[in-house]
Amino acid sequence: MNACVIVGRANCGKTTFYTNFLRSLGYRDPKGEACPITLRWKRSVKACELVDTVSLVDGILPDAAARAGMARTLMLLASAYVVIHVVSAPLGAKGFRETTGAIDLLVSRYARRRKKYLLLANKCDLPGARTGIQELRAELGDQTIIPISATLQTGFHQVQEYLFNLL
Amino acid sequence: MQSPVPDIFVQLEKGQIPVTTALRLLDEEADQNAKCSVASVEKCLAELNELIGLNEVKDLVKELYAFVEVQRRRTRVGLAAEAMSLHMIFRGNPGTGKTTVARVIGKMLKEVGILKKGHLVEVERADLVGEYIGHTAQKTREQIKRALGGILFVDEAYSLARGGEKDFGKECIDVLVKAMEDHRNELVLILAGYRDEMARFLQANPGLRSRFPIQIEFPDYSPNELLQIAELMLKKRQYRFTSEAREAFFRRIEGALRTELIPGNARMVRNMVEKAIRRQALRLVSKTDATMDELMTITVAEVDLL
Repeated sequence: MNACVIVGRANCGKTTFYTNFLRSLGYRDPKGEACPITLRWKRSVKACELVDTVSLVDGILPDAAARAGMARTLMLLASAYVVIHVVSAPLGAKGFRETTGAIDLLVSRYARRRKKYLLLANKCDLPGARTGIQELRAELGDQTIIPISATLQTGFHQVQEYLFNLL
Repeated sequence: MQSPVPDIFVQLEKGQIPVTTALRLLDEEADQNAKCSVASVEKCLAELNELIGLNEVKDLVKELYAFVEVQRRRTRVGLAAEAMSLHMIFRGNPGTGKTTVARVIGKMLKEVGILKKGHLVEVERADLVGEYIGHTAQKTREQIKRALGGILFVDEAYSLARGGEKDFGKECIDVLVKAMEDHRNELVLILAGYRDEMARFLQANPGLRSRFPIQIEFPDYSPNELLQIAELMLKKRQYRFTSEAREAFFRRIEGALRTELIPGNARMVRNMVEKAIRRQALRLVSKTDATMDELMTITVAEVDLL
């Protein structure tokens, strides 16, 4: 089954998106880090596996378990059919490069060229999100960016349509 | 595409490199693999170009490659892409290159990332159709399972519909159609057979026709093309014709096509070439001091005995 792997840095809302997106699709009590899902669009149906991952954190972490988790995230990224990259939309005064740092740039660079890629700008309900999304667009050119709020479950309909087309 | 070097993950896990370095290495590794993949596709296309004749088939396969590659690039950047239905019908007489071309297409689709394995599973009616109720679905599913990640090549596919309404062939077609939908990203189905029989088969099953957007015609080889094929076969085996033998072989091909009503096919030529090689061996077996040139040469004497 094709794996759609959710990646991103700490606190960007990956797990909230994973849980609430599954709920929006009718999976009442999502558990674990991977879930086979069925996407319906118009009269067609497609199946895939949605996979949540451990956050990517820069630097050498002292905790071995955390490092093992990141290694697994990278393995999943390398074998993913679709990469769902979650970034936090409110970038603040520092701007894209300063706020998102090298990790997001590298994930984006790798996944855009190698995989089917979906970029979600999360937390679009928070102040500063609009400016942040504009900066993301300026930085990433023609890449489609879907603004969402994982907490409020907004933008999920668009995510479902886009993901369906990628599969 | 090859998987990245596991060292990257091990180094990250051991705390030898930060995640940013691991991501850079992963990207470089993928770049390297992509270069290998392009080279492999070029190798596949070169393999196809080596085949004698089949110009329309070659153009169609190149078109197919271009289509698949561009659709893949479009989906990556989020543009709408045509749904890729790559199931095909191959129509042509036996020995016109259908299986060879299917094999090349399998390799090519693997290299562009459409199929995971790109292998070819060649089956015919007896491999798919059972003898009692429920047997056919089971047999067909087994073959489909073997072919997942590659190509299921059904030779003489028209025979699936030859038994009429009560024949289990109909059940087999239903299972194949279902598999085409259920495994659309993991399986390419190629139905092959004689031109006329395949046309009748598709007419009798209108639902099938629309599911196979790619239909490739394999024309019979001309006498000239068959001679070129024979020379290529000899060259690969490190043999060659004398000029008289070449002319005689050409006349034999023309004669075979005219009098024996055999369609121009490469299998006939292969049999003729192998027979000529055996005749040459018979001529030289008692000559212990035969030179290298003699060991390589097929003379008119061998060809005349075909």
